[in-house]
Amino acid sequence: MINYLKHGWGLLSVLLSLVVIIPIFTIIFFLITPGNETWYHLRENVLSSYIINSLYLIIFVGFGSILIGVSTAWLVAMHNFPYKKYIEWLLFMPLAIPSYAVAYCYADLLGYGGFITDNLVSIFNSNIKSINFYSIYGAIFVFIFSLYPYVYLLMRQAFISQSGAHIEIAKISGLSVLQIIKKVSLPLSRPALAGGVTLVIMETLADYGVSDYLGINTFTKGIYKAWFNLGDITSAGKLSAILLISIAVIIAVERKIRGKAEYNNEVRSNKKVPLKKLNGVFAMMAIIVCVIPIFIGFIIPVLTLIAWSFDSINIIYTLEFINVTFASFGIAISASAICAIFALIIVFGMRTNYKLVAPFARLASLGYSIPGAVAAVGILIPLVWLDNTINNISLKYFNYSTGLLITGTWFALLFAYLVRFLALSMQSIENSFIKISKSIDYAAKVLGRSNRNILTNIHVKIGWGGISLGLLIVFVDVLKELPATMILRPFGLSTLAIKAHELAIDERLNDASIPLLTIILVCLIPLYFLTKVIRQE
Amino acid sequence: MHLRGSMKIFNILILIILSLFFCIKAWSTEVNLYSARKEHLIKPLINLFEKETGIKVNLVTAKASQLHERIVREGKNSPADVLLTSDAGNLWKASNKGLFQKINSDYLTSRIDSKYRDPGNQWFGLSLRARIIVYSLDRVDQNELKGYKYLSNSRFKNRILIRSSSNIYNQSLIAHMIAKYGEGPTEEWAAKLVNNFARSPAGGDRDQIKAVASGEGDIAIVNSYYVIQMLNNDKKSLFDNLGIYFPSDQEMGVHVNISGAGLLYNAPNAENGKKLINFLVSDKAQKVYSFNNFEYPVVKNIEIPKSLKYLRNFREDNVNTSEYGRLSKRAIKLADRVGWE
Repeated sequence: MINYLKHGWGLLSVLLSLVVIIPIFTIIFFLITPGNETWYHLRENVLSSYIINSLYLIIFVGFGSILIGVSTAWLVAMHNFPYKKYIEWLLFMPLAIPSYAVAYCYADLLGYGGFITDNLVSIFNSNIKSINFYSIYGAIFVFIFSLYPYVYLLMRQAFISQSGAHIEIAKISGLSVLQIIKKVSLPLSRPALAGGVTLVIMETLADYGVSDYLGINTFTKGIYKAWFNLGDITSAGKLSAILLISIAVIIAVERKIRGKAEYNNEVRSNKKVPLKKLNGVFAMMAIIVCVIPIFIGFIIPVLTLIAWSFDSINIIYTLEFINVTFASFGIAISASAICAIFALIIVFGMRTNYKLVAPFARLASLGYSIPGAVAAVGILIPLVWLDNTINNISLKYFNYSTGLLITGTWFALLFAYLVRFLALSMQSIENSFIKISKSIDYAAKVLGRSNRNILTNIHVKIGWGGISLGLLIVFVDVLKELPATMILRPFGLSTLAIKAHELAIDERLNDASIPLLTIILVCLIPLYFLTKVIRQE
Repeated sequence: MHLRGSMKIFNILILIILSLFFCIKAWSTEVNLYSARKEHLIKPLINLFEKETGIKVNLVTAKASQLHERIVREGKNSPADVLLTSDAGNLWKASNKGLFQKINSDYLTSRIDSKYRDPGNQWFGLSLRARIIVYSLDRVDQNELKGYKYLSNSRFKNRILIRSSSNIYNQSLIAHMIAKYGEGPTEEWAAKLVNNFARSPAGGDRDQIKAVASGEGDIAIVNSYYVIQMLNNDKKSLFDNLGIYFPSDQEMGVHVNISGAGLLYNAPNAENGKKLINFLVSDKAQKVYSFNNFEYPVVKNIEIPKSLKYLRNFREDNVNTSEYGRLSKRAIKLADRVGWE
């Protein structure tokens, strides 16, 4: 058996990738179905403006999140300054608030009777009664400050695991701090940077909540318009396929440019980067740079939510709150575990046989860029097909109808999360495995270890930081996930995200604040364990 | 030989799974509800129904079109019995796809006015909401206001607030206008209306009301129950200078939309499904709609809360609500053409 796995490791990875690729291909198949009048209407009247808006969004959000994510990661990973212990983890927290909730908060704060506008009026005696947040600038603002943590987390991990030797050599060669960042640290962490930005861009493109509320016509809004308004799932599928393929092209191009450079840590000395201690003005500046995104992305929205929650605290009793919280926690934990297992096997498979596994692995990670509701349809189609096949077999042999066995169960839901979020686990695991020198693999093999042994005893242990990071990110994203959960969930299952969304869309923001705050609290549980893991390293 | 062996194991496996599901299927006094109305709105009604009949309601909520898709994909094995949605357009789309079956019930037809149900009795309206005007008492003279059509007049330039045309309430309003005046005149009207917008459409209905209060515009077109929810809000003082008007003129009365339900074509628990729909138009349930959700009851002579009573005096238009669905595609495309974002 073990002998089989030794050779079959690559095949297993391909197999697991294929499971995830099926729904993605289901979406791509929409592309070859013939277009109808809705398709032509969209193409002629609105599509070009939707594309331009989306491009604007990803360019600005991409650069903004690089700016914030890289600078904070660099400060935190390479330096010591007061309160760093807290700042390090608070910088992650904006991920715990759904971006649409951030949009609601700022629109309210800046709107009529909002906290900010009210105070502007009284302090500056100004005539402004409201500041218009409903614009593409508002959307860029929301996305940057709620998504930069993807870049921050991956870059922090990359900076920390960089060998100190590189930097020492650079210092000896007389490079200044900025030159070191530009010429050594950044190029060495390029895979992490590309990975983080890709996640930000994919999430921005797949968003519906923010752009719908702020009235921005984005590509994804076009997808949902075709489906929800014009009732045309085919055009929606076509548009999603186009979105998917464009992202695949962007990723492929980035990898091509990166070339064949290998990012393994071949430098022998595994010396940690020495932390530079910042004092006085520099420490102040570092704190300010880190606190700004924490404030905008986390503290202000949370305070707003808390203020709202005072009016509606008794909603806790009407929402079967405990049940919903446990259910959300349960699916988030199981989904993140499943994603981690799949990602581990696939990433390791890529290591043993890159040429065979890589194309499948890359395809499998595209699911993140499909808007959730469309992804759900891509999952529904093959699952129902499977159900019907089982049903037919059972009818034929036992004369009994099984109905739909898988569709509308937890299994279908978990499968959906796997398809949507595998990219997150893979990104963070791949990142941490990159740092493990290939010579370790070879040495272990010479010593007669099996591949499975190498994975569980060496890679999992060295890469544990990256694996738990992946667990955390998937956990948080599943907690926030909305459309796929809504469409595929079994009877009686509700999540905090669904509760929050239903109340918010009904314009009952005060009531929505309670489930939103609970999401944040639930996120603290895995975060607490992650800090322990990373401290131990 | 080898293949046979594995076939056997496969069969046994299936048998085990089947027997497991048989146990689950044995549960029979239940009804499966797919609802596009949010859980917090529908839950009080479900609780009442369960208490009264002992039938368990299994609930899934999502957007109407998402539920349509799920039902279509699930096909003849779909577990869904009843579909509940909050716009006549969505109900029409479902019946147009053949998702519903006809219900022959004198009880339903006698309690629900014919313009609030499907002509073929495939779906039934359960509650009503009106699309009305909230205006600034300082800057608008009530004599300025007439029907919807008059809002395109150039005197309202830069004064009108309304949310995006991607919202189904607006689509139904436009579809209603098409039914009333024809597509050409409606397009002309919509183009002029867009010209009168105070800002490009964004936010929800409440945001339009706030924008009137803050002076960004003078006239907001919104749904009635949002207005009542806001009047019940404790920040009331902010909205002191607002008036409410039900738009109607000689030709067209107030645009009223429904929430409603239909029995699904493949409903495995059809009898229980019918019971649920019947229950939703009972006096008790209708009261919940008006007292909890601030909607107008679809059944006449039901007691309503004070805030609704104060708003009740208006002349409904006579167009059948099924027209909203029939014309919705044309309405959406029309909105795209005139640049109503």
